[in-house]
Amino acid sequence: MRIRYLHRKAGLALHVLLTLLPLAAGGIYALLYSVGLAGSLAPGFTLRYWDSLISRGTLWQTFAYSAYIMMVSVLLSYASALALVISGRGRLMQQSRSRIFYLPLAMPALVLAFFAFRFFSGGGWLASLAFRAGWIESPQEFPELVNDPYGVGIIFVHFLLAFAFFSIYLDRVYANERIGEQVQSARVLGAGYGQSLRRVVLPMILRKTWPAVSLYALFVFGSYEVPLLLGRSSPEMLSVRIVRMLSRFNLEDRPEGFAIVFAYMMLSVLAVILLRKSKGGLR
Amino acid sequence: MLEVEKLKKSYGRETVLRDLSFSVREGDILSILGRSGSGKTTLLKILAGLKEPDDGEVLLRGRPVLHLPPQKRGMVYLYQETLLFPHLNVFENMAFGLRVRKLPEKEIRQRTEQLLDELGMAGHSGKMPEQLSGGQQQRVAFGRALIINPTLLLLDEPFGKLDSRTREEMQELFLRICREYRISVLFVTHDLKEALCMGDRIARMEQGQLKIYAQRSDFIRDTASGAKKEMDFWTGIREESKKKNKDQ
Repeated sequence: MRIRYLHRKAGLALHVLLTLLPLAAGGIYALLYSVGLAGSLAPGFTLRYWDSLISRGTLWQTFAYSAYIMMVSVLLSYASALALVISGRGRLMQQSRSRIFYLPLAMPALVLAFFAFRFFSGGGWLASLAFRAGWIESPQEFPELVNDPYGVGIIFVHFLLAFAFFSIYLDRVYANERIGEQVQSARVLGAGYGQSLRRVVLPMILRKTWPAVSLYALFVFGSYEVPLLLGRSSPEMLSVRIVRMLSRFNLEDRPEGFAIVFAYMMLSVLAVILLRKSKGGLR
Repeated sequence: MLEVEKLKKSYGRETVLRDLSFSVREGDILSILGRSGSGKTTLLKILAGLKEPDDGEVLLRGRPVLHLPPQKRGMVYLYQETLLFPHLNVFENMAFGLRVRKLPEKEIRQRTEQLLDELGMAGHSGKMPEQLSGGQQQRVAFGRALIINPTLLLLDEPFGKLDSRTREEMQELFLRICREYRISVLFVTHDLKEALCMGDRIARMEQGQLKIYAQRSDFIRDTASGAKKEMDFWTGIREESKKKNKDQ
């Protein structure tokens, strides 16, 4: 009994030491750097870096663009995967073709981003096909699908990755929650197909999956490799902007980079707290 | 009231229902016994519209129903598990059938509260399914079916997962309510005692056919039913304990 208690305590201490402590240390360092109290050229306490970020609108623009990419790619992929799983009645992964869902997950995001670039760029395969078909006369006429202001390429790659993940996950939830039988129950009680979808399938799946979907959305919000390769310098996604600012030659840019890091960390912590507090959230 | 004519169903080479015909009278409870895999569940699911037969006809009050979707047949199929909707509380689970029929809110409230009261669940209407005991969940599942006044109830071993005491309570409650509302029931069970207690008539499913016994005594006399063997077992136990008591 005593040994089990000690094991539990040791496990908790190890978790704090390996994950929470470095995170907290990083957060504190970022905060200190952003207010001029850390770093080689620290001028002493000042809020001018925060002022500069907020007044130029850079912070808001970066957050808004990341939120837009996150919302569109997660909503599109979740809705598509949900439609697929409902039409497959939770039996997608029982079939041999289930392997095609695991394939995108096994590929590094950077490789998928590279393929997307080769496929969609002005000098890529799609443009070359369009050129041979006589639809365009030069690569410049091909619509911007990568490094574009709307993030089409980034959304496409995140869609591929998230669609595969959500399809596998939702299919498992559909089977484990016995949603097929719940639909049959609803039907014999008088619900039509549409009613059973609205009143049973959707509420059950959303209730069960929204914490994981929210965490995945946070992951997309902070993604790096895909927007690095397929995005443009303005607007820019959060992680790309942070890395760019922190690795600039001008050391005066670093405090602003750390200010964004700190704001991002606070947002993530807030999201996790809200998820934990909400009904049916993280436990 | 229910007439089933020459129903056939096969899964691949295995024939589950073989020209199965029988009828159920208005307000009748027909207990159906049978081994696992004998086709009892398939029969109920075909009647409810959840599976399609290969051939045959089903008439409910003289009207063919096989072409109708499940929600228009007036038959409610209850699984062994209660399968209450986990995102709805007791009240909303019970009121589900009325809500999908888009009845006025006042009527929904009145009918649901009345039935909750009748089933002894009035104090639990705000609870979620996971907060209920097995017996309470079964009451809600039962009420959810009753509230829409089904023409026929199809029960697939509904009390199979309950402990013996709760099971007896539920059997009594079920019988009382079925008599009160004059509901016709097909009651599938593999428990001999339950079949005898619940059914007005008893049937046995074997090799894709349903044998209905006109009298309980016919059922008990039929050696294939296993009733005689069961009774002999208990008689033997009684005799043995009597003998022991005498010796002491």
